[in-house]
Parts: sequence; structure tokens; C-alpha cells
Amino acid sequence: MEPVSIVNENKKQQKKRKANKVIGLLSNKKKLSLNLFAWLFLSPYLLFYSWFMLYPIVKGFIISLYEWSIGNERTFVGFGNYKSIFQDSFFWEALSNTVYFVVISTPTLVITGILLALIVNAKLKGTGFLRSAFFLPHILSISVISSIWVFVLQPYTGLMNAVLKSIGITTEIFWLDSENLAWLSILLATIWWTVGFNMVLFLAGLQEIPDDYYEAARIDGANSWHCFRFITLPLLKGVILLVVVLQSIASFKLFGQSYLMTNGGPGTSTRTLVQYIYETGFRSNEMGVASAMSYVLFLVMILFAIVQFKFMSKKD
Amino acid sequence: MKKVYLLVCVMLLTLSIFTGCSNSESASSSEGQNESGNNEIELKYWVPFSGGDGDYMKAMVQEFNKTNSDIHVEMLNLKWEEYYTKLRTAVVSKQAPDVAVAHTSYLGEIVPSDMVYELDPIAEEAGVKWESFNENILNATVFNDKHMAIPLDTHAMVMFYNKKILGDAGLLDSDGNPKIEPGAEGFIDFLKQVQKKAPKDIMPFVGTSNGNNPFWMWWALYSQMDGELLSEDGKKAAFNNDEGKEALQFISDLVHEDKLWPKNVKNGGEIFAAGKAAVNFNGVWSTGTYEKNKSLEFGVTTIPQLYDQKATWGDSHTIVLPVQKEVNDEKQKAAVTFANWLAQNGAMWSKAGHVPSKPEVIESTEFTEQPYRKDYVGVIDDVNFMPSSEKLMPIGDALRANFDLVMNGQASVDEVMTKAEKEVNQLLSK
Repeated sequence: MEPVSIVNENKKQQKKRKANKVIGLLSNKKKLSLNLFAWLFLSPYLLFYSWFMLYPIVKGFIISLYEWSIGNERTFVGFGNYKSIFQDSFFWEALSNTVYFVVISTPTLVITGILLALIVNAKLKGTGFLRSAFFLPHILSISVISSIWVFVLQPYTGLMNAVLKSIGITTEIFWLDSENLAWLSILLATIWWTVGFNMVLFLAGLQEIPDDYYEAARIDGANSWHCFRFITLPLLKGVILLVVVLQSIASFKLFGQSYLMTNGGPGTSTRTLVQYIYETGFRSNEMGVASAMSYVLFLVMILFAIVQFKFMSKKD
Repeated sequence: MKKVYLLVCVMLLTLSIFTGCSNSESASSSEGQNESGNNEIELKYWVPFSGGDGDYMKAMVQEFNKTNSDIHVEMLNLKWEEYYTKLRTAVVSKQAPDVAVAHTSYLGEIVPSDMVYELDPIAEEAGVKWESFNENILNATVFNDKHMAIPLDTHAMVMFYNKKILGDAGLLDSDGNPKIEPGAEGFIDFLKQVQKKAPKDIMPFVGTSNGNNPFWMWWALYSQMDGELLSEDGKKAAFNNDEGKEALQFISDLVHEDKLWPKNVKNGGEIFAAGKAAVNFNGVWSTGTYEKNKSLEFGVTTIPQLYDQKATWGDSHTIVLPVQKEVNDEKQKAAVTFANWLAQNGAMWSKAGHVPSKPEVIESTEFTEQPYRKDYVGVIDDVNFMPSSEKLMPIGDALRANFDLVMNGQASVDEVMTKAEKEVNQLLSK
């Protein structure tokens, strides 16, 4: 190329740039390069996201359409796996157990979460200690939690029955071996383990509320209940929605506590859907059926979340 | 120009992630060099000994590495609950260990799906003498006349008894053995006498009331009546019959009728170890745990014969060679040499409580001078292995869950057997 034309090119570009500045618009080329920068910064995340989230989700759906066992041949069965799980009474039992746990655990965990947050938010002595005490179990692993609770609740040598005995209740109570008590025990362990996380979320929400609102209300003659009912609760609404959704999703995924504390027992009465999926997939080696069940659980959870969002945001 | 530069950046980033994955693989399979400079064969070895026996296996691997300069074994101890899932996925993704432990009961699942190598072509060269193994244990590892595994031990359900409690109650004979009359009634009478004569807070019989314990006990008693778990072709359940029900009824009566075994015990072994129970049916590996409790005076013997023949539940740890990306003769030979060495040095392994697989090891002084082991060494011929089936694990899950219902009094033996039969047939039909 001749030097003159280069100079011409440069001049033209300079003119163009000026024009762009004046109009306040970017050229397509520049837009593209800016986009490219954005994509560059996004790429590490996107790569991992698609690799470890999108790909498995799609792959899981594909597996659910096959008769798929590790190490053996696969045959395409269409929606056969879905058909077979809907006829499987254990599937329905596991699903209803799961829904039962969501129903009993979500309100309990949300309400205890708020109560604990209110306690540690009150400007009393020792709240710093309480704050960490309530949150501490959350950092333990599920196997530790379950071992502790089995240790506490087991008959003959357990702590709970020993305490009850010392206050005069001498009959052995089988906390983990009758259906209702087993659910109660699982719920108890779950509260102890996870309520700290809800508490922290609520605490953050509480601290967002300016003190002047309460002051103003006090001057107008509101008592504590009024303050809570008409200031705290409405202003916590966003956090409550968040916690309810997070909590019900977490409750749907119940596995460790029931698996390790009761092994789904007595019989199969505390077996949750995730445990049944695990058993089907990794004990019976029927990946296709297990994937199909996972998809049903996925849909149920989405449905739940949509309903909650609609229901809770309508009131605004 | 800039675009190209950016593209290169993105590609480099992607590339570095890809290579990051493949690098580690090539590094781990490289062969190391030992002190003398010879090429050393590296073997990756997986075991499911998350319990107490992991330490004994570790000591054996160290000993092997010390005495065999041309082979280096690297052991990975995995959690028992997830072991077989990991092993299976590792084989399918071509990243399997060179050598691994598998239970005999699991061979029925991995042999038909071609996940382990047949050993006959390699065994002779590596110096394995099949005739030196106990027949009962070895036969359970043979599929279609081919040796698929090298058995290391057998671990069976045996009977532990508290010598102090029984002695104080006058229920031991002059040799220190429990005075039990033959048959199911004799055993019940014995436990009733314990109940009468021992202190109030002592449990005559104990075991964990759910999961494996009742299941294994049922299999032991059912085997004593020569019962079968599955039909001959392995496609149908075959346990819902008089014998199967009688065995379960016996266990149920211990709990509900005669109240000799308290209901819903969660930690049978611990209660026995604390000296709070007279008799305990448990796996031989509990010997190692009970021994550590110095204040516990206990004895151990095979499960008494309650029905037609002697039999008990048991399983074996065996060594298998999982299928690799490509066959490496040298590694295979080294792996079999290592497996054979483990079986040959079974006396070391028996410290964990297991019974060695080779009669010559059982006769060696190294084994006989260990306390307790010789008292239950007879189980080696009593063990009735469960039939090999690809569905044995889920079948076990179904039986355990159903027997639990009997154990906590929620269902009758008849109900549970019918239900279990239906579930097992459903599993087998898939």
C-alpha cells in the first residue's frame, strides 16, 4: 500500500470518530469490539456455567428418555420412564413424603428464623454470643449433624431419653422408629442445622429498617406488637419471600437428614424423593428412571416457586 | 486486529482449562523410579475400608511396598457408601484403578457387565495357586468356570457373649462356653435364663434392630433351613415360603413375644461393648472393636445351629482387576502378584477380625496365636454366600426396609414377606 492512502485512511477514521462523538453513537465495529470485551469477561463464568449446569441439565433430560445403566447398553424408550414412574407407588409415596416435609418445615423454619433474628437484633447483652451460637450448626456437615442427633435420640443410651427419665418419664420413646416421631426428629435436626442461615438473612433485613420509623411510631403511641406488625413485617416482605422460596426449595431436596437418621424408615415412611432417586440411580443402576424422577421433582419445584412468587407479590 | 487478539485470548483460556484436565491424568499414570533406578510399576489400589480395618490394610500396603522393590502400590481408601458407585463410574470413564477390593456379593453385578478382567491367563504367571484357597470362599468368586477375583478373607456373622454376665448367672460350662441346648427352643430357653438370672438392666440379646443386623440374621437362619433367596434362573424371588417366614418369625419373637431383644436398638455393638448385654450377633470385624475395650470380658463362637444345618451370613473381600483403557500385561501381572501377596499374608489382615482365605494361613502360628480368631474360624465353611445377581444390592435394600417393619412392630411377618416378594420381583423384572 502507498503511504498516502494510509494517511488518508487515518484521516478518514479520525473524522469518523469525531462524528461519532458528536452524534453520541458508536459504530457497529466498535460496538462489536465492546461486546467482545464483555464476552471475554463473561467467558470464564459462562464456560463453567454451561459446562456444569446447562450441559448436565440437558444431558439429564436426554438420559431420562433412555433405559440407561452404567456399563450396559442403552436403549431409547421415549417417555417410557416417565410412564413407569407414574405407575410406581413408591414414587408417589416418596413424592408425598417430600411434599409433607416441605409443608411442615417451611413455615417452621421461616417463623423460627424471624424469631431468632428478632432476639439477636434486640439490643441486649450477649446477642453477639447468641448470633454465633445460632449460626454455628450451619457450618457443620450433614453427616456430623445426623450423627449428633442419632446420638441424642437413640433409645436406651440416648441423651434425650436419659433427660426425660430424670424428670420422671420412664417409658422408652422411640424417636426414630415411629412415623410421626421420626418426622419430628428429622424436622428438629433440620431446624437446628439450617435455621441459622434464615436468621442471618432476616437479620440483614431487620438492620435495613431505619430506626426513625420505630421512633415515629412510638411517638404516635404504637406498642411493640404494632411496631412488629405494621413496620417490621411489611418491610421484611422481600426477605420473607426470598427465604420462603429458598427454604421450600431446600426442603424439597431433603436427603441427608432422613437418609442418615432413619434411612427412610420405618419401612419407607420417611423416604424422600431425592433418596428414592439416589437408590434408583446408584443402587439399582437405573439412571434413566432416576433422571426422569429428577425431572419430575424439578418441575414440581418450579411450579411451587412460580406459585409462591405470584401469590406473594400480588399483595403489593 | 483487536478482534483477532481477543479471540486468541478466549481460545487460550479455554485451552488452558482443557489441558489442565488432561495433564493431571498423564501425570498420575506415569511410572516412577525407585531408589535403585529400576523402573517401578505403579499400581493404583482402591479400597472401601472407611471403618477400622483401613489402618490394617494401610499397614499391609506399606509392608508390601517395603518388600517388593519393583512394584509400588498407592492405596486410596474410599467411603464404603459411595465406593461401588465410584468404582463403576471410574471403569466406564476409563479411569479405573489397576486393582481394587470388591465384595463377593458385588461380583454378580460387575462380572456380567464386563467390568473386571478374567484372572486365569495372568494368575499362573504371577504365582497364584488356586488350590491353596478355601473352596467355599473361592467357589463364590468363580463365574462360568473362570476365576474373576482373588479372595482375601471371609467375614461372617458370629455370636459374641459376655463372659462375666453369663458366668455370674451360672450359664457357662467348665470350659467357659455358654450352656446352650440345641435347636431354636434351646437358644430361647438359654436367653430366658439370662433374663431371669442376670441383673435387670442387662439385655439378654442385643443387635442393632434395623438395617443389616436383622437381615443378616434372617439369612443365617434361613440358610440353616437350606433356603434360597432367588429362583434358579435368578429371575424370581424364592424366599416367601414357610422356612423364610419361620426364620423371620423367630427374630420377631425374640423382640415382641419373648422380649429378649429390646425394641428399636440403634447401637447394638456399643451396648454390648459397654457390657450391658449378654449375647450379640455381629460381624467378625467387631472382634477388633470389642478387644479394645479392656474391661469387657467376652467370648466369641459361631452362630448356634438352630435348625437343620450349620450356616451363617457372610461375605468376602476379594481383589479384582477393573477394566482399563488399554490392557497392560506388566501392570496386570503386578496387580495379581500384589493380590496374591495380600492373601498369603492374611494373618496381618486377620488383625481386623476377618478370617483369612487360605487354610495354610489359618494354620500358621501368626494367626493361631491371636486371641478369639480361632474360636470362630469354623465360619469359613459355614458361610452361605448370597446368590450372585445384578440386583443384589437393591434386593438387600428392599428386604432391609421390609424387615425393619417387623422389627419395630408395624407389620406382621406374613404381610412383610408378601410385600418383599412383590418388590423383589419388580426389581428383577426390570
